[in-house]
Amino acid sequence: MSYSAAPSGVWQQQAHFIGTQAAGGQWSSMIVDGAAGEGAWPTADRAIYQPIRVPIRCIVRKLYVATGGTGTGNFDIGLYNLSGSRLVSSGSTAHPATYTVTVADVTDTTIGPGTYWIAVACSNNTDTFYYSTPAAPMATALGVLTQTSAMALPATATFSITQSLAVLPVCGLFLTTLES
Amino acid sequence: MEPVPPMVGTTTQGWSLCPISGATTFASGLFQSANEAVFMPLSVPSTCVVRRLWWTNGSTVNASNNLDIGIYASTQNREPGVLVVSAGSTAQGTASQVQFVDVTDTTLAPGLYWIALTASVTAATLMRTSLSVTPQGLIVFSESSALPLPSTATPVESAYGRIYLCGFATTASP
Repeated sequence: MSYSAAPSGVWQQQAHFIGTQAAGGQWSSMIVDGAAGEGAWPTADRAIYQPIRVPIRCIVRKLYVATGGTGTGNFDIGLYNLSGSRLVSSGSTAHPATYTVTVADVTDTTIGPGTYWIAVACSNNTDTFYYSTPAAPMATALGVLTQTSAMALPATATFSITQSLAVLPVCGLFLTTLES
Repeated sequence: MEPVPPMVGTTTQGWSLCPISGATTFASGLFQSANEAVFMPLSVPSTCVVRRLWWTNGSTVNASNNLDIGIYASTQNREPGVLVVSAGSTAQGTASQVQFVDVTDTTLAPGLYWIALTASVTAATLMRTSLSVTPQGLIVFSESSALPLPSTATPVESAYGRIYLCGFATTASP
């Protein structure tokens, strides 16, 4: 077992949160360092897809994204399989304009093991979120993909690369692990 | 079984054996020595297919600069050995972009491998960082006069201890 795999024993059949950043980021395929800060969404209707490795079977219960204090538009957060099919999403949701971890209750969905994409999109480029900002083209090197005109998140992703992207949103999922 | 990420490189959690703290430690910098190959360790925990190789250009590039990138199998002494796949000498592309090179699809079995990168001139800037641990030569190897990358490595302990942001993609696009 590699260090990134889920521990056995009491870790199994427990509730966890898994995300793209340092806290809860042990399933992220990216080594993301540096503190996340608040900033405006980079481009209206752009989706950002971040890879996440799920080493065991689990049930996704909720999705989350860290929102900032400015919000007049809508966001969507979702989970995709590696080939780009949307498995579950929050749907278009009003930005709360609050500094918080905004949680979306979604249909319980069994996934894993495998690699997935956590996607976030926002309807404008003024609503704020928490994200880390590794200099471009670091996000591309970390495997992050994008899509324009992707609000609400599409049923099938059309992945592209944005070499100038310098935003890694703080987001993830709440889940219950199953016996591996 | 460890899931296979779409992009595998020197910052990939659970795969990279380079002791770095994260992506923000990388910055644009000159290549260490003309025609020298640097070998960086990678632990492949699951069978995967290499479809593209990639490196990350720094802020200053020139199309007359040539680079090569490849993957070497490890010897029993845990040193770079036989070349598994490489891009061949390739002109440096656009500044501050990840540069992909398509290669013959190549399956890697689980094990220790080495990502090798070389450049024809030190003026070729790449995203790189320096190891914070010593002795650096026990982690990173190098070889002089290694452009294009040789079919069998003749590595020595690196005097630089630099890690470059590079790796391979398990997807064909984007």
